[in-house]
Amino acid sequence: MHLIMVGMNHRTASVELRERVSIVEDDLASVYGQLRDLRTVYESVVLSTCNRTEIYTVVTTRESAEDYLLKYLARRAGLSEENIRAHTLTLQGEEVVRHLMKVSSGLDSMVVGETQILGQVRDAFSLAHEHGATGLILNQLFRTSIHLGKRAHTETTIGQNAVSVSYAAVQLARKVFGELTGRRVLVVGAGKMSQLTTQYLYEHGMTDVHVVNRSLTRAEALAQQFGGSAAPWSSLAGELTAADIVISSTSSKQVVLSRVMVEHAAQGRGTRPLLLIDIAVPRDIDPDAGSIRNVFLYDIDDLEGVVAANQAERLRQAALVESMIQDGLSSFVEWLAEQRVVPVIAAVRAHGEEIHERVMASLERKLPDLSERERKLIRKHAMSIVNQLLREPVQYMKERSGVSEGVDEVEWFADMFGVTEQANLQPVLGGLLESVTNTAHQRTERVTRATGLQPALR
Amino acid sequence: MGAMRASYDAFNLLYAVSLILFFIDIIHPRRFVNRTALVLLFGAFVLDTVFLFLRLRAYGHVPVYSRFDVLLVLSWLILLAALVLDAFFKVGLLVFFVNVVGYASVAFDLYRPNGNIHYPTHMADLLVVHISLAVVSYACFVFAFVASFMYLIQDWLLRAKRWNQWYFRLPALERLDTYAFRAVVLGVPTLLVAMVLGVIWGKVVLGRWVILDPKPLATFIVWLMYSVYLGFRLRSGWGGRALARFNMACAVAVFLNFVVVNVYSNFHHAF
Repeated sequence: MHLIMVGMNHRTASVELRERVSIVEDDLASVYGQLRDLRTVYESVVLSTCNRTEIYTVVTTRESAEDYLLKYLARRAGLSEENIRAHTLTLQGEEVVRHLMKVSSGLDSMVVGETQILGQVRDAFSLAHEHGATGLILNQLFRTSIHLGKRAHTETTIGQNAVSVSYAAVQLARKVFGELTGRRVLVVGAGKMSQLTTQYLYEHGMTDVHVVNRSLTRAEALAQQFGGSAAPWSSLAGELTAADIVISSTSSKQVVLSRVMVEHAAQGRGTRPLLLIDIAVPRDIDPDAGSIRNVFLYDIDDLEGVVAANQAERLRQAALVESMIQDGLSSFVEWLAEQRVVPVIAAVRAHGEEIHERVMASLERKLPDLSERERKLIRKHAMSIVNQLLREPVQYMKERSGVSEGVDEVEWFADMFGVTEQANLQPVLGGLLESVTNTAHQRTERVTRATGLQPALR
Repeated sequence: MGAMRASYDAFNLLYAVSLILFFIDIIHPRRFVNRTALVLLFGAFVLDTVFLFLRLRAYGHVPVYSRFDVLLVLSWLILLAALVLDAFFKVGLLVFFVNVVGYASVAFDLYRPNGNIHYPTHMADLLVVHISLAVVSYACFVFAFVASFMYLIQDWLLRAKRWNQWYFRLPALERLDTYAFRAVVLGVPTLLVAMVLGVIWGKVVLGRWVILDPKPLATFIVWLMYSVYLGFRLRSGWGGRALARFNMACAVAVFLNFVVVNVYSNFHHAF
């Protein structure tokens, strides 16, 4: 059995191609139906968003499944198989696990760290589950990846730092005021940038919006979008005193808010800070106003500086997520190994208990005069022999289950104890484990060779 | 005594290593380093608890009668508050900064773990409550000091437009201002009750009102300073830079009161 992923994303294909192969929700029933009809496909999940269409599958024969999926994508795109191959990403085993974890945590997104993809992965998995397309392996893989994606966003700040100038204004406002709910924003000028920045502030709870513009009609139109109020240009000074945050973006060639105006406003505010965001070029606010007590002034260059720092911070956080992915990968491999070895260990233990019961029954027949206490004592010690005999082989099996040769050893172990039938070994799982652990095993081998250390139980 | 010494040394070691790891995590964030630092900090808290318990058992009374013990209880309170706050509110850098102060208080008496002074008459209940409440108020003032310190750093970063690691990891100005304010709100009445109990203890045990001694006088001045802080903060609804600096000055006054004034006090030499 093999774990494979065939698909295309924003790195491999243009938007024109991506939209041609994308699979909308209404088509899913038919897609899953077709995949189910293929004898080679055991499980599947289709993840189709504006940036990617990827099909995750558990298959018996890798080559034929890959061929089929490529042909299927080519058919949807209306291209030849050769043409589509150049834009298609094909992954298998550990690469699939790692890729899905990167996708879920936003590391593979166009804007690194965005959170929307996590919801899309969750939806794709739910739909596949509803269509009966998933099974043991993909259920675990998607649940682990979704859990990891959530952790990446809660334990790191990968998605929290603004990567647009308008959003950087929101970030600065939050660094000063914390929660923005209940704060008053004054928008000076009713242009596009003012609208965009106010939109972000509004989405973060700043619903008390006041707009001042030379044209009152335009001010009213903008204020209406946010349920705010508009005021004439002459009331600018008064509005300034009442505001917590000022977004200024007029097309004026001269300074709109002079140092004197800001100083006057600051005096009427006590110790409450005033945040001035000047996104106009030429600037609307006198740069000297930034030196007034309790006034924070930022222009467009400052906001771009914040964006650059945020991008660098996202990359730093991405390194932390990478280490989480490595942990997630290891725990998935361990889980996979357990699926193979746990039934065998359970069967061996059951076999031991059965022998123990048989011996005890025989003993009680031959020594019928044993007292209750003697029976209990013999029963306990006989069980102890079984347990002690099994302890080391079971421990050995658990340790070996995670490496590729261990796959064969599980069968050998089951044969040795005569429990192959009881353990209900699924040969397909062995292949899958091998494909997933192959890379990890090669890594272990390299380390072993480099350090000269031999695994203790080899 | 062996177990006591071992737990104290291990506590010191874990506390120091934890703070070093926290610092490394700030400079070069790594989840593993942060987790390890937090686990070690919890270990330091457990060992501090064990050490305090061993001293309680050895002396037969709450160990608050020497400067060493008081600072130890202070560090224990800081550790407890920091761990609980971080568990519920993810206060991040605040944990590091308050514990720098917490560890500094332990390191202050690191080489003098003895010196347990016995009062002529303990009048244990009243004196223990007096000292314990004073220590709780000191812990509150440590938190307030650290929050104001962090406020000034973040304020400077926002003004100087330094978008570095500290900018990302320090909380919002409003939040730091609120932390400082709340800590002082808790500390001021606690210190007042501690002062009143101290005076009553003096009357009961020493037979006179001990008001004109340098220690109660200095403590009263400290209390007044914090009350002034509260007054300004309540009036404006936002502390700002000036009040943050004043809050830090109040904490310096607490420190001087604890270290210097005790020398001149007639009955606080133990501290």
